[in-house]
Amino acid sequence: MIRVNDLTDEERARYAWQISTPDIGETGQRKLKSARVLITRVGGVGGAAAYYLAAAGVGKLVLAHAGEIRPADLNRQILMTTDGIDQLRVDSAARRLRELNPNVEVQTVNNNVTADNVAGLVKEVDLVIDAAPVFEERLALNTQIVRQRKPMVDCAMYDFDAQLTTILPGKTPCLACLFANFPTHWKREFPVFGAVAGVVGTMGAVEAIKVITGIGQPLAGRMLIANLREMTFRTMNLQRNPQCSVCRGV
Amino acid sequence: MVVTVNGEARELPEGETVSALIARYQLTPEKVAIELNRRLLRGERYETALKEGDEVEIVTFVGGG
Repeated sequence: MIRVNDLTDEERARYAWQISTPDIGETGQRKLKSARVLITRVGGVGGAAAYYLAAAGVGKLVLAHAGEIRPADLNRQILMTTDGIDQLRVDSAARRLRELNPNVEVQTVNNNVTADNVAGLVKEVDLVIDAAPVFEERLALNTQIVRQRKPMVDCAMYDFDAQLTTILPGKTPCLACLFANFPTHWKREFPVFGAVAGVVGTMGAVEAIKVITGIGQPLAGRMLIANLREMTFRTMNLQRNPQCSVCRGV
Repeated sequence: MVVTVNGEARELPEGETVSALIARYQLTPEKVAIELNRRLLRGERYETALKEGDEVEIVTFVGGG
């Protein structure tokens, strides 16, 4: 009998070059195949993360992103195509992912994270990649992943700046430890090159692969701060806020 | 006194506090994280006076996706 996460011959061939990673092997590949990941949204950052997680053979990807493709999406939202303008973003994203890797189950949600849907979306997955461009969504996800004790890779950027951290509820600071209220300076539109957003999303995918397979040292309790104008990378050690309104006592 | 701010040496008045430094850069405390000598500084400690040779990193949280 074939267990659900056994690899097929096609999968062994497809993933051969990553299975050869010494601490991954077929065991790690089966963990990826068993994993379910929510990516919200699938724009410049989340689209890159989704593409690489599909390539890596993550079993199920849930994509949450509202609306139709606009011309201004196309400089960075790498899963959106020109012939998909005015069609649903998640449909274009799902098509691109299935073209790359038909083994991956792709579930689409034509909606952004809201107070109403966030609990259900997080419940369906093992790990969340937060690539939302507004702090309201980031903090809503943060509250739910802490409540449901699920890891979240938080990916953020602005201009040529990147910030990345991996939240392991109960072990690391959560987003609310860092900022209790969403920063008031934030505006929905921000300067962005696709290449910069793609770096952030790609690093987010690396973090997700590490957390799922248990290899390496994720950015747990640390924030990577990258300035791609200057090409400088540093990590800042984060601390839990004992009075945090979200993760206190977890 | 000379303090390193985001990697650059800056001449600052003796006894300058972290909150005064934030104001000098025309930032507001809620928007930033402050690292003093590689340790994250909580908001309630922003009245800490800086000393010669201190290293300060001012990080503005971003949220683009």
